[in-house]
Amino acid sequence: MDFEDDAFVLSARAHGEAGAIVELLTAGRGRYVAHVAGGASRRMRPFLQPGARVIARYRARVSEQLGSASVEPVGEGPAALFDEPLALAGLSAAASVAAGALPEREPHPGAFFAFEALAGALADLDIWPAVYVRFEAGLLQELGFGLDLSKCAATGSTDDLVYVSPRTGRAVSRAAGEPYAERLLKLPPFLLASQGGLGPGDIAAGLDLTGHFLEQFVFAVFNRPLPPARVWLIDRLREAGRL
Amino acid sequence: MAASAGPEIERLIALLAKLPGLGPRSARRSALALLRRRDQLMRPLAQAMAEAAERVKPCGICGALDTTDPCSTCADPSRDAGLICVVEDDGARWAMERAGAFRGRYHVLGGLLSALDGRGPEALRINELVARVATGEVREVILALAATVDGQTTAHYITERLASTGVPVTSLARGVPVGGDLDWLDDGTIAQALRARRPA
Repeated sequence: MDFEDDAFVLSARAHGEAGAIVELLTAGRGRYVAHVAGGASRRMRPFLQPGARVIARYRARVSEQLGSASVEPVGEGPAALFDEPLALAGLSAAASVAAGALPEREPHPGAFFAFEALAGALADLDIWPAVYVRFEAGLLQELGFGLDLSKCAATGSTDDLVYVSPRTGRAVSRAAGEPYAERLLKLPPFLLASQGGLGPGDIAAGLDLTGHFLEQFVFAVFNRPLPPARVWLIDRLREAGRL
Repeated sequence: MAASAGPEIERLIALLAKLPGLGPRSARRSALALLRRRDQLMRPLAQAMAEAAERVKPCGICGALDTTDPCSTCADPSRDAGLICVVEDDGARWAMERAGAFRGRYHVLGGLLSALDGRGPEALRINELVARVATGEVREVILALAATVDGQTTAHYITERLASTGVPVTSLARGVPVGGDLDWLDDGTIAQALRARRPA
Protein backbone atom coordinates (compact mmCIF):
# COMPACT_ATOMS: atom_id res chain seq x y z
CA MET A 1 0.00 0.00 0.00
CA ASP A 2 1.70 3.17 -1.22
CA PHE A 3 0.53 6.72 -1.60
CA GLU A 4 1.78 10.28 -1.68
CA ASP A 5 -0.35 13.10 -0.31
CA ASP A 6 -0.29 16.58 1.17
CA ALA A 7 -0.56 16.42 4.94
CA PHE A 8 -0.34 18.29 8.21
CA VAL A 9 1.60 16.84 11.12
CA LEU A 10 -0.72 16.42 14.10
CA SER A 11 1.79 14.95 16.51
CA ALA A 12 5.21 13.31 16.56
CA ARG A 13 6.69 11.16 19.30
CA ALA A 14 10.21 9.82 19.45
CA HIS A 15 10.41 6.11 18.80
CA GLY A 16 13.65 4.33 19.54
CA GLU A 17 16.91 6.17 19.05
CA ALA A 18 16.26 8.11 15.89
CA GLY A 19 12.76 7.35 14.66
CA ALA A 20 9.40 8.94 15.34
CA ILE A 21 5.79 7.88 15.28
CA VAL A 22 4.05 10.64 13.38
CA GLU A 23 0.36 11.31 13.14
CA LEU A 24 -0.64 12.93 9.85
CA LEU A 25 -3.82 14.54 8.57
CA THR A 26 -3.64 13.82 4.86
CA ALA A 27 -5.67 15.66 2.25
CA GLY A 28 -7.25 12.67 0.58
CA ARG A 29 -6.96 9.76 3.01
CA GLY A 30 -7.65 11.22 6.43
CA ARG A 31 -5.64 10.59 9.56
CA TYR A 32 -2.69 8.24 9.20
CA VAL A 33 -0.07 7.14 11.70
CA ALA A 34 3.33 6.16 10.38
CA HIS A 35 6.86 5.45 11.48
CA VAL A 36 9.30 8.01 10.16
CA ALA A 37 12.86 6.73 10.14
CA GLY A 38 15.20 9.48 11.33
CA GLY A 39 12.23 11.48 12.60
CA ALA A 40 14.06 12.40 15.80
CA SER A 41 17.14 13.57 13.91
CA ARG A 42 18.37 17.13 13.91
CA ARG A 43 17.47 17.44 10.22
CA MET A 44 13.88 16.29 10.52
CA ARG A 45 12.79 17.47 13.97
CA PRO A 46 12.23 21.10 12.89
CA PHE A 47 9.38 20.14 10.59
CA LEU A 48 7.89 17.28 12.58
CA GLN A 49 6.01 19.77 14.73
CA PRO A 50 2.25 19.91 15.23
CA GLY A 51 0.77 21.97 12.40
CA ALA A 52 3.69 21.59 9.98
CA ARG A 53 2.70 21.15 6.33
CA VAL A 54 4.46 18.27 4.57
CA ILE A 55 4.30 16.04 1.55
CA ALA A 56 4.07 12.51 2.91
CA ARG A 57 5.01 9.33 1.10
CA TYR A 58 3.44 6.40 2.91
CA ARG A 59 4.34 2.77 2.41
CA ALA A 60 3.14 -0.44 4.09
CA ARG A 61 3.33 -4.05 2.98
CA VAL A 62 -0.19 -4.82 4.18
CA SER A 63 -2.94 -2.38 5.07
CA GLU A 64 -3.22 -3.57 8.70
CA GLN A 65 0.45 -2.81 9.30
CA LEU A 66 1.85 0.38 10.77
CA GLY A 67 3.46 1.77 7.66
CA SER A 68 6.51 3.91 7.26
CA ALA A 69 6.53 7.37 5.77
CA SER A 70 9.03 9.83 4.46
CA VAL A 71 8.07 13.46 4.78
CA GLU A 72 9.20 16.56 3.00
CA PRO A 73 8.46 19.99 4.50
CA VAL A 74 6.38 22.56 2.65
CA GLY A 75 6.83 26.18 3.66
CA GLU A 76 7.93 27.65 6.96
CA GLY A 77 5.47 25.77 9.15
CA PRO A 78 4.91 26.49 12.86
CA ALA A 79 8.23 28.36 13.11
CA ALA A 80 6.43 31.35 11.61
CA LEU A 81 4.26 31.48 14.74
CA PHE A 82 6.98 31.12 17.36
CA ASP A 83 6.56 34.75 18.41
CA GLU A 84 2.77 34.44 18.72
CA PRO A 85 1.82 32.62 21.94
CA LEU A 86 -1.91 32.55 21.24
CA ALA A 87 -1.41 31.24 17.71
CA LEU A 88 0.81 28.45 19.04
CA ALA A 89 -1.94 27.54 21.50
CA GLY A 90 -4.47 27.58 18.64
CA LEU A 91 -2.30 25.36 16.49
CA SER A 92 -1.75 22.84 19.30
CA ALA A 93 -5.46 22.79 20.09
CA ALA A 94 -6.46 22.26 16.47
CA ALA A 95 -3.91 19.46 16.05
CA SER A 96 -4.98 17.65 19.21
CA VAL A 97 -8.72 18.05 18.51
CA ALA A 98 -8.23 16.70 14.97
CA ALA A 99 -6.03 13.85 16.26
CA GLY A 100 -8.56 12.90 18.92
CA ALA A 101 -11.71 13.32 16.86
CA LEU A 102 -10.91 11.91 13.43
CA PRO A 103 -10.97 8.15 12.95
CA GLU A 104 -7.85 6.63 11.44
CA ARG A 105 -7.64 5.92 7.71
CA GLU A 106 -11.01 7.41 6.84
CA PRO A 107 -10.97 10.12 4.16
CA HIS A 108 -12.05 13.52 5.49
CA PRO A 109 -10.90 16.08 2.96
CA GLY A 110 -13.08 18.73 4.61
CA ALA A 111 -11.11 18.38 7.83
CA PHE A 112 -7.85 18.84 5.94
CA PHE A 113 -9.07 21.97 4.19
CA ALA A 114 -10.51 23.36 7.43
CA PHE A 115 -7.10 22.81 9.07
CA GLU A 116 -5.42 24.44 6.09
CA ALA A 117 -7.68 27.49 6.36
CA LEU A 118 -6.94 27.78 10.07
CA ALA A 119 -3.19 27.38 9.59
CA GLY A 120 -3.30 30.14 6.98
CA ALA A 121 -5.21 32.48 9.28
CA LEU A 122 -3.16 32.01 12.46
CA ALA A 123 -0.92 34.98 11.77
CA ASP A 124 -3.88 37.36 12.21
CA LEU A 125 -5.07 37.38 15.80
CA ASP A 126 -8.17 39.42 14.95
CA ILE A 127 -9.64 36.71 12.77
CA TRP A 128 -8.17 33.30 13.65
CA PRO A 129 -10.22 32.60 16.81
CA ALA A 130 -13.37 32.78 14.66
CA VAL A 131 -11.69 30.58 12.03
CA TYR A 132 -10.82 28.13 14.80
CA VAL A 133 -14.49 27.88 15.81
CA ARG A 134 -15.39 27.32 12.15
CA PHE A 135 -12.68 24.65 11.97
CA GLU A 136 -14.30 22.76 14.85
CA ALA A 137 -17.75 23.23 13.30
CA GLY A 138 -16.33 21.86 10.04
CA LEU A 139 -14.83 18.91 11.90
CA LEU A 140 -18.25 18.11 13.39
CA GLN A 141 -19.76 18.35 9.91
CA GLU A 142 -17.17 15.91 8.54
CA LEU A 143 -17.88 13.47 11.34
CA GLY A 144 -21.62 13.54 10.68
CA PHE A 145 -22.60 15.75 13.61
CA GLY A 146 -22.87 18.99 11.67
CA LEU A 147 -24.85 21.89 13.07
CA ASP A 148 -28.01 22.69 11.13
CA LEU A 149 -28.11 26.46 11.16
CA SER A 150 -30.28 26.92 8.08
CA LYS A 151 -33.59 27.55 9.85
CA CYS A 152 -35.32 27.48 13.22
CA ALA A 153 -36.01 23.92 14.37
CA ALA A 154 -39.32 25.02 15.97
CA THR A 155 -40.82 27.53 13.53
CA GLY A 156 -38.91 27.04 10.29
CA SER A 157 -38.04 30.74 10.29
CA THR A 158 -34.69 31.76 8.85
CA ASP A 159 -34.61 35.11 10.68
CA ASP A 160 -33.11 36.02 14.03
CA LEU A 161 -31.47 32.66 14.73
CA VAL A 162 -29.67 33.13 18.04
CA TYR A 163 -29.75 29.75 19.78
CA VAL A 164 -28.79 26.14 19.09
CA SER A 165 -30.46 23.12 20.64
CA PRO A 166 -27.83 21.26 22.71
CA ARG A 167 -29.57 17.99 21.88
CA THR A 168 -30.05 18.21 18.11
CA GLY A 169 -27.56 20.87 16.97
CA ARG A 170 -30.34 22.71 15.13
CA ALA A 171 -30.76 26.48 15.21
CA VAL A 172 -33.57 28.08 17.19
CA SER A 173 -34.93 31.59 16.63
CA ARG A 174 -35.02 34.20 19.37
CA ALA A 175 -38.81 34.14 19.62
CA ALA A 176 -39.07 30.35 19.82
CA GLY A 177 -36.09 29.91 22.12
CA GLU A 178 -36.71 32.71 24.62
CA PRO A 179 -38.64 30.54 27.14
CA TYR A 180 -35.80 27.97 27.13
CA ALA A 181 -32.91 30.40 26.79
CA GLU A 182 -31.03 29.06 29.81
CA ARG A 183 -31.00 25.54 28.39
CA LEU A 184 -30.04 26.51 24.83
CA LEU A 185 -26.58 27.24 23.49
CA LYS A 186 -25.89 30.71 22.11
CA LEU A 187 -25.34 30.92 18.37
CA PRO A 188 -22.75 33.59 17.49
CA PRO A 189 -23.69 35.49 14.29
CA PHE A 190 -20.32 34.81 12.62
CA LEU A 191 -21.26 31.15 12.24
CA LEU A 192 -24.26 32.16 10.13
CA ALA A 193 -22.49 34.56 7.79
CA SER A 194 -18.78 35.06 7.37
CA GLN A 195 -19.38 38.75 6.61
CA GLY A 196 -20.83 39.39 10.06
CA GLY A 197 -18.48 41.11 12.46
CA LEU A 198 -17.41 39.72 15.79
CA GLY A 199 -19.17 40.97 18.87
CA PRO A 200 -18.16 40.67 22.52
CA GLY A 201 -18.53 37.11 23.72
CA ASP A 202 -18.98 35.65 20.24
CA ILE A 203 -15.78 33.58 20.31
CA ALA A 204 -16.59 32.22 23.78
CA ALA A 205 -20.11 31.33 22.60
CA GLY A 206 -18.70 29.63 19.52
CA LEU A 207 -16.20 27.60 21.55
CA ASP A 208 -18.95 26.62 24.01
CA LEU A 209 -21.11 25.52 21.10
CA THR A 210 -18.56 23.40 19.25
CA GLY A 211 -17.06 22.17 22.52
CA HIS A 212 -20.45 20.88 23.66
CA PHE A 213 -20.99 18.80 20.53
CA LEU A 214 -17.40 17.62 20.30
CA GLU A 215 -17.55 16.50 23.91
CA GLN A 216 -20.98 14.90 23.72
CA PHE A 217 -20.89 13.25 20.30
CA VAL A 218 -17.21 12.68 19.55
CA PHE A 219 -14.99 12.43 22.62
CA ALA A 220 -17.55 10.95 25.03
CA VAL A 221 -17.92 8.00 22.65
CA PHE A 222 -14.29 7.12 23.43
CA ASN A 223 -14.80 7.95 27.10
CA ARG A 224 -12.30 10.79 26.77
CA PRO A 225 -12.51 14.43 27.82
CA LEU A 226 -11.84 17.25 25.39
CA PRO A 227 -8.07 17.52 24.78
CA PRO A 228 -6.08 19.50 27.37
CA ALA A 229 -4.68 21.61 24.52
CA ARG A 230 -8.19 22.95 23.85
CA VAL A 231 -8.68 23.81 27.52
CA TRP A 232 -5.27 25.51 27.49
CA LEU A 233 -6.28 27.54 24.40
CA ILE A 234 -9.48 28.77 26.03
CA ASP A 235 -7.56 29.75 29.18
CA ARG A 236 -4.98 31.66 27.12
CA LEU A 237 -7.67 33.45 25.07
CA ARG A 238 -9.51 34.39 28.25
CA GLU A 239 -6.33 35.72 29.89
CA ALA A 240 -5.61 37.77 26.75
CA GLY A 241 -9.12 39.25 26.83
CA ARG A 242 -10.07 37.64 23.54
CA LEU A 243 -13.19 35.83 24.74
CA MET B 1 19.85 -13.95 23.04
CA ALA B 2 22.38 -16.18 24.81
CA ALA B 3 20.01 -18.97 25.82
CA SER B 4 22.51 -20.95 27.88
CA ALA B 5 24.37 -18.03 29.40
CA GLY B 6 22.54 -18.09 32.70
CA PRO B 7 19.93 -15.76 34.17
CA GLU B 8 22.49 -13.28 35.57
CA ILE B 9 24.00 -12.61 32.16
CA GLU B 10 20.63 -12.48 30.49
CA ARG B 11 19.44 -9.95 33.03
CA LEU B 12 22.60 -7.88 32.50
CA ILE B 13 22.04 -7.94 28.72
CA ALA B 14 18.37 -7.05 29.10
CA LEU B 15 19.20 -4.06 31.34
CA LEU B 16 22.03 -2.85 29.10
CA ALA B 17 19.70 -3.06 26.10
CA LYS B 18 17.47 -0.44 27.73
CA LEU B 19 20.23 2.19 27.59
CA PRO B 20 20.17 4.83 24.84
CA GLY B 21 22.22 3.76 21.85
CA LEU B 22 22.17 0.08 22.74
CA GLY B 23 20.00 -2.66 21.32
CA PRO B 24 20.03 -6.39 22.12
CA ARG B 25 23.08 -7.12 19.95
CA SER B 26 25.21 -4.24 21.19
CA ALA B 27 24.07 -4.97 24.76
CA ARG B 28 25.37 -8.52 24.36
CA ARG B 29 28.71 -7.22 23.10
CA SER B 30 28.86 -4.75 25.99
CA ALA B 31 28.06 -7.48 28.52
CA LEU B 32 30.82 -9.66 27.10
CA ALA B 33 33.28 -6.77 27.20
CA LEU B 34 32.40 -6.11 30.82
CA LEU B 35 32.74 -9.76 31.81
CA ARG B 36 36.12 -10.05 30.12
CA ARG B 37 37.42 -7.02 32.04
CA ARG B 38 35.78 -7.48 35.40
CA ASP B 39 38.42 -5.82 37.56
CA GLN B 40 39.37 -3.05 35.14
CA LEU B 41 35.88 -2.14 33.97
CA MET B 42 32.93 -4.05 35.37
CA ARG B 43 33.50 -3.62 39.12
CA PRO B 44 34.56 0.07 38.89
CA LEU B 45 31.54 0.73 36.66
CA ALA B 46 29.19 -0.98 39.09
CA GLN B 47 30.69 0.99 41.96
CA ALA B 48 30.46 4.27 40.05
CA MET B 49 26.82 3.58 39.18
CA ALA B 50 25.98 2.70 42.77
CA GLU B 51 27.65 5.87 44.05
CA ALA B 52 25.91 8.01 41.44
CA ALA B 53 22.53 6.44 42.26
CA GLU B 54 23.16 7.10 45.93
CA ARG B 55 24.62 10.59 45.82
CA VAL B 56 23.34 12.45 42.74
CA LYS B 57 20.30 14.56 43.58
CA PRO B 58 18.58 17.62 42.11
CA CYS B 59 19.95 20.93 43.38
CA GLY B 60 17.54 22.63 45.75
CA ILE B 61 18.08 25.98 44.01
CA CYS B 62 18.31 25.30 40.28
CA GLY B 63 17.17 21.68 39.95
CA ALA B 64 20.38 20.52 38.22
CA LEU B 65 21.70 17.05 39.00
CA ASP B 66 24.78 17.10 41.21
CA THR B 67 26.29 15.31 44.18
CA THR B 68 26.15 18.45 46.31
CA ASP B 69 23.24 20.66 47.27
CA PRO B 70 23.52 23.50 46.28
CA CYS B 71 25.12 22.23 43.09
CA SER B 72 28.65 23.18 42.08
CA THR B 73 27.35 25.89 39.72
CA CYS B 74 25.09 27.53 42.30
CA ALA B 75 27.85 27.34 44.92
CA ASP B 76 30.52 28.79 42.62
CA PRO B 77 31.09 32.44 43.68
CA SER B 78 32.71 33.23 40.33
CA ARG B 79 29.42 32.61 38.48
CA ASP B 80 27.24 35.67 37.95
CA ALA B 81 24.18 35.23 40.17
CA GLY B 82 22.43 38.06 38.30
CA LEU B 83 22.08 35.96 35.13
CA ILE B 84 19.83 32.92 35.06
CA CYS B 85 19.71 30.66 32.03
CA VAL B 86 16.51 28.60 31.90
CA VAL B 87 16.94 25.17 30.29
CA GLU B 88 14.67 22.20 29.72
CA ASP B 89 16.84 19.52 31.33
CA ASP B 90 20.38 18.62 32.33
CA GLY B 91 21.23 17.64 28.77
CA ALA B 92 20.58 21.22 27.67
CA ARG B 93 22.54 22.57 30.66
CA TRP B 94 25.52 20.41 29.78
CA ALA B 95 25.32 21.63 26.17
CA MET B 96 25.43 25.25 27.39
CA GLU B 97 28.37 24.45 29.64
CA ARG B 98 30.23 22.74 26.78
CA ALA B 99 29.99 25.96 24.81
CA GLY B 100 31.73 27.78 27.66
CA ALA B 101 30.04 31.04 26.66
CA PHE B 102 27.82 31.48 29.70
CA ARG B 103 29.11 32.36 33.16
CA GLY B 104 25.83 32.84 34.97
CA ARG B 105 23.64 30.30 36.76
CA TYR B 106 20.97 27.92 35.57
CA HIS B 107 17.41 26.94 36.24
CA VAL B 108 16.39 23.46 35.08
CA LEU B 109 12.65 23.24 34.34
CA GLY B 110 12.46 19.45 34.16
CA GLY B 111 10.60 19.41 30.83
CA LEU B 112 8.46 21.62 28.62
CA LEU B 113 4.82 22.59 28.67
CA SER B 114 2.97 20.35 26.27
CA ALA B 115 -0.63 21.05 25.47
CA LEU B 116 -0.73 17.88 23.36
CA ASP B 117 0.54 15.70 26.21
CA GLY B 118 -1.42 17.55 28.86
CA ARG B 119 1.73 18.63 30.76
CA GLY B 120 0.94 21.87 32.52
CA PRO B 121 2.98 24.46 34.48
CA GLU B 122 2.50 22.60 37.77
CA ALA B 123 4.59 19.73 36.38
CA LEU B 124 7.59 22.02 35.85
CA ARG B 125 9.78 24.07 38.16
CA ILE B 126 8.30 27.39 37.04
CA ASN B 127 7.07 28.54 40.45
CA GLU B 128 10.58 28.00 41.80
CA LEU B 129 11.96 30.16 38.97
CA VAL B 130 9.51 32.97 39.72
CA ALA B 131 10.47 32.80 43.40
CA ARG B 132 14.18 32.94 42.51
CA VAL B 133 13.72 35.95 40.27
CA ALA B 134 11.55 37.72 42.84
CA THR B 135 14.45 37.85 45.32
CA GLY B 136 15.77 40.90 43.48
CA GLU B 137 19.25 39.53 42.84
CA VAL B 138 18.57 38.62 39.20
CA ARG B 139 19.27 41.14 36.39
CA GLU B 140 18.30 39.02 33.38
CA VAL B 141 16.64 35.71 32.62
CA ILE B 142 17.81 33.97 29.44
CA LEU B 143 15.44 31.38 27.99
CA ALA B 144 17.47 28.64 26.28
CA LEU B 145 14.57 26.45 25.24
CA ALA B 146 13.95 24.32 22.18
CA ALA B 147 12.81 26.04 18.98
CA THR B 148 9.72 23.84 18.87
CA VAL B 149 6.03 24.48 19.45
CA ASP B 150 6.34 23.19 23.03
CA GLY B 151 9.60 25.04 23.66
CA GLN B 152 8.25 28.37 22.49
CA THR B 153 4.93 27.88 24.29
CA THR B 154 6.94 27.36 27.48
CA ALA B 155 9.04 30.45 26.72
CA HIS B 156 5.94 32.63 26.28
CA TYR B 157 4.40 31.29 29.47
CA ILE B 158 7.55 31.99 31.51
CA THR B 159 7.81 35.47 30.01
CA GLU B 160 4.23 36.18 31.10
CA ARG B 161 4.86 34.83 34.59
CA LEU B 162 7.99 36.94 35.00
CA ALA B 163 6.48 40.13 33.58
CA SER B 164 5.42 41.37 37.01
CA THR B 165 8.98 41.13 38.37
CA GLY B 166 10.27 43.70 35.86
CA VAL B 167 13.37 41.60 35.16
CA PRO B 168 14.31 41.53 31.45
CA VAL B 169 13.67 38.16 29.82
CA THR B 170 15.62 37.28 26.67
CA SER B 171 15.80 34.17 24.56
CA LEU B 172 18.45 32.56 22.40
CA ALA B 173 18.58 33.69 18.77
CA ARG B 174 17.18 31.40 16.08
CA GLY B 175 18.77 31.08 12.67
CA VAL B 176 21.69 29.78 10.65
CA PRO B 177 23.99 27.52 12.73
CA VAL B 178 27.76 27.99 12.62
CA GLY B 179 29.02 26.01 9.65
CA GLY B 180 25.48 25.74 8.32
CA ASP B 181 25.00 25.67 4.57
CA LEU B 182 21.84 27.53 3.50
CA ASP B 183 21.13 24.87 0.93
CA TRP B 184 20.61 22.31 3.69
CA LEU B 185 18.50 24.42 6.02
CA ASP B 186 14.75 23.99 6.30
CA ASP B 187 12.44 26.84 5.22
CA GLY B 188 11.47 27.70 8.80
CA THR B 189 15.07 28.23 9.93
CA ILE B 190 15.91 30.37 6.91
CA ALA B 191 12.80 32.52 7.44
CA GLN B 192 13.62 32.93 11.14
CA ALA B 193 17.21 33.88 10.30
CA LEU B 194 16.03 36.44 7.77
CA ARG B 195 13.68 38.04 10.28
CA ALA B 196 16.46 38.16 12.90
CA ARG B 197 19.04 39.73 10.51
CA ARG B 198 21.27 42.48 11.85
CA PRO B 199 23.59 45.13 10.42
CA ALA B 200 26.72 43.50 8.99
